[in-house]
Amino acid sequence: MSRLSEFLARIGTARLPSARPEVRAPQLDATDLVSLFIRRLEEVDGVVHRTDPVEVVAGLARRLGTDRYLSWDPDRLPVPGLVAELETLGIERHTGPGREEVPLGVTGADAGLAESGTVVLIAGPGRPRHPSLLPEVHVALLRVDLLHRSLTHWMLEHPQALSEGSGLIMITGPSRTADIEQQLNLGVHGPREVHVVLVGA
Amino acid sequence: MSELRTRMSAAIGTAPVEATRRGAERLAELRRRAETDYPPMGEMRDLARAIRLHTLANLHRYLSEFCESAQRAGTRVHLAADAAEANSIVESILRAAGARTVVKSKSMLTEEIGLNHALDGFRVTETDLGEFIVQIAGDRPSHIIAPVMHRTRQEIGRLFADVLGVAYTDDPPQLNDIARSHLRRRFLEADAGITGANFAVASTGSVVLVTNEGNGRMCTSLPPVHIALVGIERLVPSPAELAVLLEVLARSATGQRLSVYTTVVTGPRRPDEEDGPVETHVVLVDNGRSRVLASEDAEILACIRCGACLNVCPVYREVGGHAYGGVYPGPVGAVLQPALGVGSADLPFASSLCGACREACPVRIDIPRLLVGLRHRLVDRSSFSWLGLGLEAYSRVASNPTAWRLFLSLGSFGLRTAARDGWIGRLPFHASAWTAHRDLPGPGAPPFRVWWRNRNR
Repeated sequence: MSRLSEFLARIGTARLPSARPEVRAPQLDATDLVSLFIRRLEEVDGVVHRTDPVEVVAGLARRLGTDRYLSWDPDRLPVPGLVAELETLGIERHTGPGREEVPLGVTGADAGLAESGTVVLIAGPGRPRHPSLLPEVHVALLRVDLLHRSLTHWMLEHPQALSEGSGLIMITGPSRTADIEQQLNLGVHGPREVHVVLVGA
Repeated sequence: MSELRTRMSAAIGTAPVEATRRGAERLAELRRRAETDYPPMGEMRDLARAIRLHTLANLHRYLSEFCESAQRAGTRVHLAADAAEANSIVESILRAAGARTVVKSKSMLTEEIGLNHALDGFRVTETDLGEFIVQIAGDRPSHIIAPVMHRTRQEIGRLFADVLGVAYTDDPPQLNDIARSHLRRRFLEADAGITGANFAVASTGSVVLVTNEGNGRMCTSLPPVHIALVGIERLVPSPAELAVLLEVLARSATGQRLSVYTTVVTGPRRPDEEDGPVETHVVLVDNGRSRVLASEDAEILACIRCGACLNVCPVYREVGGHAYGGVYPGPVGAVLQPALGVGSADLPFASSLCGACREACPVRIDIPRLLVGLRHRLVDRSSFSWLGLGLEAYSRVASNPTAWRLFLSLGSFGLRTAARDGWIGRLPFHASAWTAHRDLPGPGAPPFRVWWRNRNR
């Protein structure tokens, strides 16, 4: 890129303080991460479950009137045997075309952020983006030991996370808008419902 | 009256501006609540400010680091000196990819460079609900983060009925569903997704996008080509700094602890990945920013586009977003637009300098100071000024006791002549601006200086 040096040559020196500040995680009162996560996700209209993940997914499928769901590859989910157990209940993992018609999506999660009620998902082989994006309802299976206090706490501990996959997504509750007269509406483009099942709690 | 003053005066009290005021007040309240709810917020804002200033001071270095990291991740980086170049780069990427339909996520930068207009040979759909409404109405956004704050749901209902051919409804959830299914089809068929970027991370080459609706995710996940337009000042050094800025941005913009979706794109999909873009492009856009960086207004580039300064500004609340003209309204726009050399030259005067913006700004930009600086340079530029002449004359009169007494007697005589029943309803020339809206009390009798003299005898 020979043009880069030419492009950069236009950029002069700003008369601004130039010392690089040290990023430290904010000082917060100690608290139980699990109950904080539950409270914060509920505040943004998410639902937290601490029951059997198979039952949660099967219950949602029944309510949605579907026998199919989209998901990460079975061996990428933090609950071994989930896909097989759902199959015995007649609920099948959908693959191939027509995925935009499936109302339920199941994924794992790479981290949970208690302060904001957020789940972090890193895309990769066997961990596609669409199960948490296209369906009406998204279920994330989150291992309790992956809970962190805040985004800043987690990022300081995992500086490599952004480079681990081509896509990283942080999800804080269901899709929302207040564009029309500041009235809250859920499910504009992304899922209308976000469920997090805490695993290993 | 200047064009700007005429526009602003005309806007006061109109229905769209009243709607804007209600929206601004609500967002300001949400921000205040988020700030009180999170004790470390003050500290986080200080840190965010230091991060932004440090990055700007070392922008040269971080830009070259970003280019290297992005290319390592498989992203093609393009450099655009100005709007025309940015638009033609995007057009040639789309042509090379054989793209015809494009979905777009809300971006101030693409508004600034007029990208949609430049892409009139393609089918471009704005996908942020507010921005979609702006697009089909042929309107302009009135707020940085809430583009249709000035429209009522009845207007939006009629618009949907007219343009999309659906039955009229003014029920927001139903309007929402209409837009959802209409736009879902567009996402699935799009050849390319175009987005802006809230941040770009130098050490990883990532582009970071914040949305609440999920349209940013759609635009970066479904189409085979993703193009991000990134203002050169959007950089952050590394993921740790990014985290601080994301936390501060969400709380300042809407009072959320984090926005619903934070999407990070670090290159195209990797081998064996099932979805994600096959091609990722970043267009780094200067368009006047390097000039601002070298100027006295450099601090304004620290802005993270949260809109907090708009929401608290008494002028914005009275005149709304459109009256400012141009793309960036409110206090930040009153600095940024003149600094970039766009919009009305007298924008820096569209402020009472009350300082509410400086207090609300998450990165503590001293907007009043920047406004005064811009005013100063505007006044200096004009060689002749009535104000200068008037002040000169005043200072001569006020420093000579005899002249001063004569001036007061003449003034008092003039005012007494103008008064009717102790009140002055109309004054001539420039003074009429005062009496256009209120009466002025006539001079008291006897004048204070006479009363004082007699009292001391």
